[in-house]
Amino acid sequence: MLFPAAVFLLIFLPATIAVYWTVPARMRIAVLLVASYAFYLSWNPVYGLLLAFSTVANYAIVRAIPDSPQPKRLLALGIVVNLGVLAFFKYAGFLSGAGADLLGWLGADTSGFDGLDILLPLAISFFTFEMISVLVDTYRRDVRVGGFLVFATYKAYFPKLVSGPITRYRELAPQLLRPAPLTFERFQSGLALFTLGLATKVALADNLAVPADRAFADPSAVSAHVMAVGLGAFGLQILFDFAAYTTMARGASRMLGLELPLNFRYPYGSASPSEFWRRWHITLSRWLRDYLYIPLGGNRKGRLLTYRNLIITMVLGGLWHGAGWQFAAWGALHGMFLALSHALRGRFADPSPVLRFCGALITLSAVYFAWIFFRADSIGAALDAIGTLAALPSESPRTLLLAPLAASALILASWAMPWLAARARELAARDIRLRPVAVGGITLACWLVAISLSRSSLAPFVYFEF
Amino acid sequence: MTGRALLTCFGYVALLALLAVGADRLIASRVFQSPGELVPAYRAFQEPSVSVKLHDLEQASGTFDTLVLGNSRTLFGVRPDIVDRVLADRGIAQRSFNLAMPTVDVRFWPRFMRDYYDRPAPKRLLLGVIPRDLDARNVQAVTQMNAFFASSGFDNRDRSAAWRGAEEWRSRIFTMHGRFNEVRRAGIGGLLRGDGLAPPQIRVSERGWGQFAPGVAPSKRELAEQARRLAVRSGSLRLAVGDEQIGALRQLDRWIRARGGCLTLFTVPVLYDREPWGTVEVRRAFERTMRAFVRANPRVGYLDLGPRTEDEYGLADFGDGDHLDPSGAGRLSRQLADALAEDPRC
Repeated sequence: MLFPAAVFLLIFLPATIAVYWTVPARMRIAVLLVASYAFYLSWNPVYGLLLAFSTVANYAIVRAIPDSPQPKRLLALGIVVNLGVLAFFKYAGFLSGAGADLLGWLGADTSGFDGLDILLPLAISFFTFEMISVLVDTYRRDVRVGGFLVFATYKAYFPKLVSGPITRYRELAPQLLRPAPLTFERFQSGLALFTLGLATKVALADNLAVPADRAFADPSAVSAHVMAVGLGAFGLQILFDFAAYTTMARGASRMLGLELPLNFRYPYGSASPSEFWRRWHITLSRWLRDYLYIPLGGNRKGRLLTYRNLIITMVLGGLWHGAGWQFAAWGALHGMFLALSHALRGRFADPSPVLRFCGALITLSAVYFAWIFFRADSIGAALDAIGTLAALPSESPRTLLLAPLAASALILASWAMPWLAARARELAARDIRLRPVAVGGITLACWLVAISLSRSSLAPFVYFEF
Repeated sequence: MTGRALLTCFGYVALLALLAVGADRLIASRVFQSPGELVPAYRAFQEPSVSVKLHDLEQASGTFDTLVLGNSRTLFGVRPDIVDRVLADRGIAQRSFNLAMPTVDVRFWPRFMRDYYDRPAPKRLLLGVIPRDLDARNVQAVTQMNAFFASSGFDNRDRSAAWRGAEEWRSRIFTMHGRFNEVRRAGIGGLLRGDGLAPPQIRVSERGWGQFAPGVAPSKRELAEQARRLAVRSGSLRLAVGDEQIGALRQLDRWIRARGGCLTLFTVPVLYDREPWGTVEVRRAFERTMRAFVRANPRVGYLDLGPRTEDEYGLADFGDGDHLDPSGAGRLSRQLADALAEDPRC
């Protein structure tokens, strides 16, 4: 059940909200749990068992950790269980294929073996990271997990289940127990966020997918111009697609009296790779920082080890996105960008606006270069795409000239948006009566945009595949 | 307190929905000449007539004994209601549906039957064939075929009833939903002038039979002139029979026989054929190839109605050079039914 599907918009979400606010307050969490499982089971009933098993196993471990004489062993067991399930479902095909390649390279006959083909359970990457965070936080005594109902609902909570944001237990559990009361202002704001996300998805992301798909279907067979346009479109598609999902998740949650964390803050205006990762998929970045980079040693053990830690963290972060060498390459590139950014940090402590703009231009170019690996079907396809783009100066000089202009416009728009949003908030605060009408107008406009600019197909969200 | 807030919130949603519906209807009346004529967006295929036809097929209850397959010549040429009526007069009760789709060739049908068609198998597949169907160079058909299997209608074929119901409901409430590809055709100038997008050129009638929309077909005078020039002509192009095409016919035969039915091929009369394959040489080569095919596959029936009956058809029976109009379709459907009644294979 995708958020833009009519069954979600016309039946599931209104029914859930209506029942949630109609039942007595103590039963609301149960409504959310039932709705969340219904949401997940609508995709594949069998894998609902996996979700339930993972919930029960993790709950048993997190409850045992605080009173255990050997909490570290329990933590290790919990991490192994979670990563084991993830490895089986997500990486078994990739690893078996890589193993077969290696054996073939060593001379063994692997011609009849194509690797294991296992259907990836929806949301497994997201709920695995959330479970590891709650295990580690429990071990560190940062949280103490309460009742099973709260834990199970935290894990399965439908707005964020499939594509995040990756929430911490302490962020969501207290809200599940005591959601903010239903008020018209909160509901109106939640609906506005939801429709804004919907309009972004169907009007922008889905339409940008067309040139991107065309370019990457066979990167060696398209012209440099088509490739350049496709890459430009993909960078925007993935931003709008993922940000739209998060915005809808936050809007739906707000209508249920819950607040989910922000996941994007105009990332294409970032002046350095470090800043980019503080503004892109924020909840993943902080997870990688807190549960991978810092435990690896972070920046505490000298410059070289810091760079190593950054690269390891980002390669694993890349592989989290998908089981393929192209994702590892994407992560490695970002690891190297971050290491470089770290090395140069001291020299540009307080950059002027011009220098900041130059930094943003370089960062955006680097991010876009890395997107080639993220979007391509394989390393070979990514290299084909780069080869095609290399012909741009001779094949399509106009596109080559337009690219920096488009990048500059994107950066300036990313800088202008927060400023415009702040002015709009000031204006709304000045005239309190204007607010409901303005929010209603924006919601209606987004609604109409979502209807009028939608294509006939219901394209899945890019991050559903992870 | 919560109860009142909940009512306010739902009242607000209802108000927004009403405004959205009003605006949607207003926009739709400007964009489309007949805004109410649509199939739900999730069933959109590569061509509006295909969307309508497959929508109708899905809505139809019961089973079909005969499925008529082929391209636009079959789509325009076979009227299932007449075929069934003639057979019923001869004591053969059957129900047929015209599934023919514009531009596709024989390679389309095995995959369509395997991956899309989910109703009980018919007793007979009746496949209309033309020379380009067998030619390995027919790239236009490949484009159509790929577009079909990449369409949202194909993607969404296995969705649940609740999912489909909700999508259909949304399309009825919001006319503009999912029609951006159509709107793009209108152009900004057209939208500002309020020209309105014309309805599709092919109107699908009962049980899949198609007709030209009013004003689309050429005049009879133009037809006569074209027929004089093109009806009997020579050319240097030779029919290049493709292995894939012959393989597709065999696959379709195996598919239907595995389900206890049979495959019957047939041809449709033309006034003239403007395509490169419309020359005397290619048509002869096509006839030879078809006869050789049915000799090698004796379980496959072949009703060569085209050349055998072409003399009986006049200008009045054609919508354009190679598509029959309703009267011609009626004539062909009666001839087809007569031939089927005498065919012992099914």
